[in-house]
Amino acid sequence: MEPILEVRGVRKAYQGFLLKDVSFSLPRGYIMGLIGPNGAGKTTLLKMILDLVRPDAGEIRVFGMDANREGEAVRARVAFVHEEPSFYGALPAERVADIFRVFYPTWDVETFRGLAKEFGVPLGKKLKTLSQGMRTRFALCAALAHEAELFLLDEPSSGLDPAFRRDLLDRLSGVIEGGQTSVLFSTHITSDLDRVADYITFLRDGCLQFTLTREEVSERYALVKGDPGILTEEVRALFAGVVVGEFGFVALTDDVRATREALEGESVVVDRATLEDVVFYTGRKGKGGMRFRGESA
Amino acid sequence: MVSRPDPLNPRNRGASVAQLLRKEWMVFWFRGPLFLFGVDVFASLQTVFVDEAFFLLNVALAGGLALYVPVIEWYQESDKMLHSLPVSRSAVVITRYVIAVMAGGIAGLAWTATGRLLLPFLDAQRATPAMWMTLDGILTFIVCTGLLFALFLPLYFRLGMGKGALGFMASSLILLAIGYGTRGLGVGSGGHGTLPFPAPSGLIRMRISELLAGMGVAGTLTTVLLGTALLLGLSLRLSQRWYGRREF
Repeated sequence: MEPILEVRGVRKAYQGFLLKDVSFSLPRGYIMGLIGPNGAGKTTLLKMILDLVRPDAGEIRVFGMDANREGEAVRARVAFVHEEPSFYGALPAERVADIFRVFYPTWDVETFRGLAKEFGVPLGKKLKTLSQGMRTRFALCAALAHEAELFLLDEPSSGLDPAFRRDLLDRLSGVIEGGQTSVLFSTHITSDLDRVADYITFLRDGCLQFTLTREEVSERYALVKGDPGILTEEVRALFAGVVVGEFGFVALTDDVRATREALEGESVVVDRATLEDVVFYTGRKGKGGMRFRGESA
Repeated sequence: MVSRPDPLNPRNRGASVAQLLRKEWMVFWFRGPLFLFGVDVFASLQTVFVDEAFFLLNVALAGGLALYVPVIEWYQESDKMLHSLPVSRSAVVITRYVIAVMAGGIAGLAWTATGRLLLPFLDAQRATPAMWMTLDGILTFIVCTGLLFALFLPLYFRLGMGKGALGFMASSLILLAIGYGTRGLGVGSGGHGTLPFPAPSGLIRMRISELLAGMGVAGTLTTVLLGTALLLGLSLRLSQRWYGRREF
């Protein structure tokens, strides 16, 4: 089956930033989490899928169509929720929804109103008077009201309270149930992805680190804890990143079997790594990936 | 298998100019008419006695009407939202030019209508009729609003509202310098051209008066209307090209 989203060798250069040859694909009916530190290129990538930003090289195909040349047809079937939703703030929420309705032939007024009621969005109030979390809820109502086939969510959960975040994740899981809709979900709250994501794409400094299923991430990555005394250059080379403290080190390995074999007989503990661990520890390759406590990423 | 889009399905087409016009109207209608016409009526009472000021006020009204929604979008950073909708950049550009032409027409009508309404308050001793009463004045209005949009809109579409406005001011100063520098060329004595520094609109009015004298009413009307349309057409093409390259 042709993937719903295919990113091939995409490259984009700005002053002081380079997104380098990013390639991955998302099949229909799955949720992909897009993770990475600030400035990794997540938002740039989402913007390129929407043709808000043009790649310098490479190609993005959505529903089999070129995201640049057939951008309007692509966007008609995509729902985008921006990190800080900015609409016509001086207008009441209901009026803004009416504006959306103009552009989406599949807009369902009843669905929208029902969701707004369920999410507690006051439709009579001006958008600029709503909190960021409430504006995000409004954007989610709009995204769910026009039968989109691909949801692009850029940090939607950062302004939401934990209870609503859980509701949102359940909703997203429901959206993909039919097997025809997919979600690409950029977030810093990696615990959300632990709950719902089928695939994880990790960007760092504009480079694609990996695209793996959540299970593959769990299998591939692990935390290793032990005495700093065993940290020879050879051992450090096994790790994607290391934090050395006064009483021990914590390292991330992306090859659990090789690490276990190399450290056999040493007093180390190998633990499951969460996505947050992967984002936190992966990185500095200089000095064997050494990162000291208190040092900023 | 992912199906190819059916071009006959409205879901697979971008928004039409008509849909975009509807969106602009929905945003404008909320407060726009009250704000712009309220300001215009109040300011008209202050400026109707000074021909050039009253003229410029209504050229500004045309700009205000055309740019009301773009300014809101710029201020509230709504352009990302707009372009995440199924709209083409080309349709957005065409829509803004259609609105500019409509705004020019509305402002021109407001100019003459307000002038007529306030006529009883005008100085009865005026030696010359107000600009809005004369053909050369009305054609000057058409050329000035046409120039305003033809110059500003490509810069707005290329650079955004803030930098575009700065670019517009710089370009206007260059045009004014050219206008003032060449004001004496081809002008006989006794006309507007002999004034040391006529108002900017006076420079254009002077040329239109020359056209009227040389080509007659029909020739001048045709020249001015076609020239303005051509200018806006070229400006539209440039805007489409530049806006197509913008990133949000």
